[in-house]
Amino acid sequence: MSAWSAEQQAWAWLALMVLGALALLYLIRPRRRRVEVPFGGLWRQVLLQSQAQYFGKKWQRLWSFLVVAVLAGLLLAALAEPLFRPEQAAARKIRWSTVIALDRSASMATRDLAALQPGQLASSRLAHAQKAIRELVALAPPDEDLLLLAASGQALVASGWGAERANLIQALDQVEASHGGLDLAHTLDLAGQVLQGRPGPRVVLVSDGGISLSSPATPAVVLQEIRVGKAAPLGQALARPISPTALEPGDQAPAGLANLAVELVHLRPLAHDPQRGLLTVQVRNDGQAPVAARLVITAAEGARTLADLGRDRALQRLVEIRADPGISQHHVDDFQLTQPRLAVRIEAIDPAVADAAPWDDVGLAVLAEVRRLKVLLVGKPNQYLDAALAVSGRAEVVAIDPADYRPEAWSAAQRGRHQVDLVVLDQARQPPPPGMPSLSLEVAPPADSTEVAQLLSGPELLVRAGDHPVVRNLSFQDTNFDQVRWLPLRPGDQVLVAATLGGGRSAPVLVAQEQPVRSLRLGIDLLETDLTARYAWPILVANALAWLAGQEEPLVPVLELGRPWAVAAPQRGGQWQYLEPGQPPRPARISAGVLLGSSEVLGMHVWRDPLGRELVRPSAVPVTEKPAVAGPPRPVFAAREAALGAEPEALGWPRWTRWLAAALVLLAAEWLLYLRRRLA
Amino acid sequence: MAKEQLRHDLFDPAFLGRVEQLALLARRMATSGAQAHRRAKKVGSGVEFAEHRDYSLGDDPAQIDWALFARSDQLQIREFEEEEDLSVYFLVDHSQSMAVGPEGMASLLDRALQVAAALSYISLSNLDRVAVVPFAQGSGARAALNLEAAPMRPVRGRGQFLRVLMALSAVQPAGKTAIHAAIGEFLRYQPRPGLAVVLSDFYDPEGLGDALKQLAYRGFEPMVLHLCDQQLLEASVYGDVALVDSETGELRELTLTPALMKLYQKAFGEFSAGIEKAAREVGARCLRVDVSVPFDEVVLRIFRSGGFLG
Repeated sequence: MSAWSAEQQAWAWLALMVLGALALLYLIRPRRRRVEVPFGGLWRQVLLQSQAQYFGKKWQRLWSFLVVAVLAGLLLAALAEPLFRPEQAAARKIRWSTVIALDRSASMATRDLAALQPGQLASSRLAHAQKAIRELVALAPPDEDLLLLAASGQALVASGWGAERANLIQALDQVEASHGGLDLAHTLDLAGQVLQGRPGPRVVLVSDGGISLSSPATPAVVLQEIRVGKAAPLGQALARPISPTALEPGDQAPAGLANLAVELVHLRPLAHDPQRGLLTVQVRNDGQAPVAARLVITAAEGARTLADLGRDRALQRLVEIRADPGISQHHVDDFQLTQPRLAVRIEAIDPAVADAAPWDDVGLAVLAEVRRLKVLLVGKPNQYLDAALAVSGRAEVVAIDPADYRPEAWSAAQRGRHQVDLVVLDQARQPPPPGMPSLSLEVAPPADSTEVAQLLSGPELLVRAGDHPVVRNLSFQDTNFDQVRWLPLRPGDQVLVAATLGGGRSAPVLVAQEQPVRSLRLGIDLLETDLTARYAWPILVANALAWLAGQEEPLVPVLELGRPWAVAAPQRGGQWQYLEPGQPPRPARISAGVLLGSSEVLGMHVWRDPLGRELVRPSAVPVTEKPAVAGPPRPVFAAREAALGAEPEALGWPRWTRWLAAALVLLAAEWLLYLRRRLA
Repeated sequence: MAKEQLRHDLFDPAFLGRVEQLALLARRMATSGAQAHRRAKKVGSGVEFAEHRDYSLGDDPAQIDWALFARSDQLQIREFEEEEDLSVYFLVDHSQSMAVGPEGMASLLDRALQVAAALSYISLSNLDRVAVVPFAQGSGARAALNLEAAPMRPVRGRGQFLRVLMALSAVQPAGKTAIHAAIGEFLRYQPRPGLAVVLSDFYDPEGLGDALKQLAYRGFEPMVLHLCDQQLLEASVYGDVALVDSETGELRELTLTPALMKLYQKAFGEFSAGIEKAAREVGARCLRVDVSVPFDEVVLRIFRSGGFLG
């Protein structure tokens, strides 16, 4: 015996409901009191006389009959309207090809508070969406082709056309929320491609609405939406949405709502002690009351995933904070930078406080690469310079005499062979090698110089570009020196430090140039100044080396999840490898010195050059809408609304419920009349 | 006849004593100037001259008044009044509707049987012939008269009162009211004319019709005792009710209102008036007997009306 179709099942249910209603009405029908009379004929005569005398009685009976007739008509209309509307009948005849695009962005992991009870969380929006899709698939006509897209920053076909429904459901159950946002344009593009040439193309977007539409939907595709979030639907809403009540800023948050999020993690090594640093965590509290929370800071040497960072052995510090409503910053001083990769997770100390959005509880940070730099030092022995290079701890110096220095000999191949990152020219008259970053300590005027060096007495050094990585947080006040060189400025030069000349004039003594290759020129004779004895000197050298090597930024930028990104790669040749968190290594896409790509995975993204050196970037905290407060979960579909072949119902109550309501009102009126007669 | 079907209330000593008192009262009323013994006057072979009539062929020549022939030269027959005992028939309606009565009190049938018993005793004391004729419409048309339950042969003498009580106590409510058919059936047996006391609620769907006229035409003197329950004229409950006909079981749903009850009272009044009018047309007395009125008072009302002792 073949199984019933969805329509037959709907009819069967309808018949069952009608029969049940009739049985119920029969059971609760009003029972009249029985009175035995000796002669019914006399009463018949009385009734005939009564009807003849009271004309209104006839109208009362007529009214009752009319009410019953109208009731029956309204009930029939209510029951039959969704089935017999001609446009729906026509729509049912269309053989649809439906792409179900399931939004698996980070916001779909939101667990909207259900009963507003502390500690009680409803299912995630993704679970609601999966349930809705199961209902959708179960009620779809057998001849309807379905395809499931798991959509986030990148859309993927989860189950193909013609697949059995069980396979689609299996694929649906395996969909998990990603850490990125939804790229709707890409999703619709992919949906349009898979729908090309198929009859009745349609896309059913199952989303929480936290999406951005960068391009209009493909016009040839019917876009419908099942909404499990709070935003307005993009296309026609296919069913009544699960619409949580948004918690707007300034609203009184209900008890139990708390969403603590780590928005940003800053990790800045101390300039004078790179082994220690300042950790800054930016925390967001979406509730309206302060929450006592705990920052769990874990660190690891080579972790790539949150699981790696979350192991107990990697726990580094616990910090208790008070997270005020809104955004607040919390600093952890004297942080030991023993391991370069950090994860900061925030959690409420009170376990009764429910956290509505689990995806934004963790922020990642990475120390800048502290790889040692290979420095080619060209110059006479200079203990001040040697000492500064040694103190930086990052330089491996190869010193040669200026007489042996041949700039043209240091080609790219030579550099690659010797692995030299930059060159320091100490009073060398030769130019730096082409294309190599360089720090030039120029005191004597070069041979090709056209300017005049001016001897100054009692000058003062002033920092002109305080935000430049080379001189950031440095001060040269009260520095004594006998000679400086008035450095000639070339196109593209930026003056970092200048010496005051009196009369409002100043001479540049530290100049940086960015293009075509980074270079620094310093116009101070190290043997004629006390700068080398000051604290600023080794920091200046260290900063200069870092900047020249492209490692000047201690705050490693984070990668946006689900968005295309480009990471500037150090100028290294060869094939790079990309190690996505939790994934096996694969060749990296690199173009014009930029690593290209995007990812959906929260964790540490690692690129490895042919020599095994690594470039690490952490994922940013997923950016999505704030969690909302929702009522108890409601069924997404009514029984007959979910038929894919039917026209989508408009938002709000279906029209047939109005007929039903009218019938109930009339029924109540008739009952009141009946009670009035009974109690007369 | 099974004993358990007998009505024992008719054998109650108190009831019988009250009946005896009524008989004495009736005799006293008769000797106080009123007519004592009702006798049926019939022209026949008595000793008291009644009238002359023309001689017709076949008459006994010995009855010719020869003296008158000698004076007027006309052949006249002398007729004398023939006195005989009065036959009293109690036609008791025992249909299902007669089983209705006020709660905790006697039903119409109970009251009818009590009245019939009392009047029977009085009649038997007056040496009248008494017969009890229960009637109701059963399953067949012939069943209008309950011949098994009643002694069709009239009995005479006080000593037969027990038989009358036995007959009355055997009457049980059953069937429908069918007065016209019952009287027709009764007359088919050609009973001796006499006093026919009809005790019924007269709830006959076909109406009373000319039943009383048939009795009068056949020489009977009808007397109508219309039993009713006045409490039925006052509704104990209002609202939506289902009225069940006690005889037919017919269900009638209606909304009982005071206005409707007034209509019912009016209809019942017209119904009773129709019965009285039918009785009046044949010169019969008609008494409406409320079931709540004790039977002895009913009997006294009958005496006072003069219909029974006169």
